[in-house]
Amino acid sequence: MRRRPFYQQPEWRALVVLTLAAVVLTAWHHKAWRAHRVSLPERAAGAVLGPLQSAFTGAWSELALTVSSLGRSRQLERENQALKRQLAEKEAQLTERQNDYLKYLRLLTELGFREPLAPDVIPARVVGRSGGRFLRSTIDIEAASGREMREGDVVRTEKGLVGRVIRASKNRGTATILLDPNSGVAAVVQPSGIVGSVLGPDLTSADPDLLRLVRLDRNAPIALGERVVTAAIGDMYPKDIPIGVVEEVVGGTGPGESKTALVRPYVAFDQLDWVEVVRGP
Amino acid sequence: MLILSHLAVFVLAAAVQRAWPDALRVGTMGPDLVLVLVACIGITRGPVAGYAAGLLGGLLAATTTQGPFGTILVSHMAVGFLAGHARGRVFVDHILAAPIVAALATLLAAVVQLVVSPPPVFLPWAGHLGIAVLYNALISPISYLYARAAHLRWPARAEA
Repeated sequence: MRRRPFYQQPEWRALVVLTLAAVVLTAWHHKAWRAHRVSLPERAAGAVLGPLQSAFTGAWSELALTVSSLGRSRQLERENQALKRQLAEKEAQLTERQNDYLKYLRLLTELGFREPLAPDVIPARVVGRSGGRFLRSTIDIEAASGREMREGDVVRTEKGLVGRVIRASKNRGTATILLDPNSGVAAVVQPSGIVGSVLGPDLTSADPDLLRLVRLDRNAPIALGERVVTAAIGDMYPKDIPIGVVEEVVGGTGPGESKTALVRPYVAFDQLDWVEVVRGP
Repeated sequence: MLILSHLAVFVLAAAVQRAWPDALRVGTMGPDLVLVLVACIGITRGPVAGYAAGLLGGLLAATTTQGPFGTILVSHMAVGFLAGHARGRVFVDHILAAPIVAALATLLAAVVQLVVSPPPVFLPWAGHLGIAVLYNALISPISYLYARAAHLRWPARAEA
């Protein structure tokens, strides 16, 4: 019997259709990417995956807590009592602070000043992250429902800068972090006052967790242990958010060669559980 | 029903992969659940189903990993298609074949990545690949059992 040509076989037709679908999806992705948007299929996938990620992260936290508490009930009881004491002390302090704040507001009114606006801070839980040395570039975060994130919002912890929201949908978002090799932040070194740009790590280096403070003058008097914070340059980040500490200075030996400072970030990016999302400047 | 079942499991696998707990990561690496699932569907169902699974898995993986979109899509579809071609061989009908297929699938996807969008440095990348191969092989029996059960529950028309 004569074999049918390959294009008339249903398997081949299915393969061609699937290949075309892949080409269309890729083209759609790149078209959206060029316009700084996310394509519809990716948005749909993200909308479905977000709640599931959140549920899985929550379930895992509960499970880990239950397992770890099983064998430590006596110790937990002692810790619980100590925490209750601390809580009572903190509540007393809080009442004192509230009284101080009311006095402060009264004084402002009497002197004819207006209260400065506090930045809008949203606490958010980390529900996903990209893994691997070359893909540690983003985290997925989720705030309580009703708290809306926006693209450009700044993500930080009490220790320092984490990154910036690049994609947001209601209370969920994806943020690029400082370990993204393509990240860049205008920064200033304290106390020397030297200004530079903090870029993501050099993945070819031995320690891929060190950020690079580049474009430093070869005579810049930068010292090990100096603090690096965000600078008031551009409109990406508010100033004075801690980034890290200068751990090593390289380059600047040859004529015209600029120095690079290697900066150890304050934030432990692999152990992020909660972050603060601050409305972008 | 089979498509709906696969769709649900793929979405679940992608969500779990992205939210993989730090305590279960080796270094910063977690398993590639989606890739392993694509390979397992390929070896239990054939090249066309594997190719389709690769398209769906690739889309979800590309959405969650921020990597190069086309490369991820191509690598997943290639894994599904080639795993499908291995279907029917004697050894792939045993659960112990799952770790071997998962390891080969991880290597194949890595080769595609190496060719299409090579990493900046090779040695650390190879180290992470080694971890990924072992981790994927370790979790592959779960995906295989699902793919096998789905295939037995909803056999292909010619086999029904």
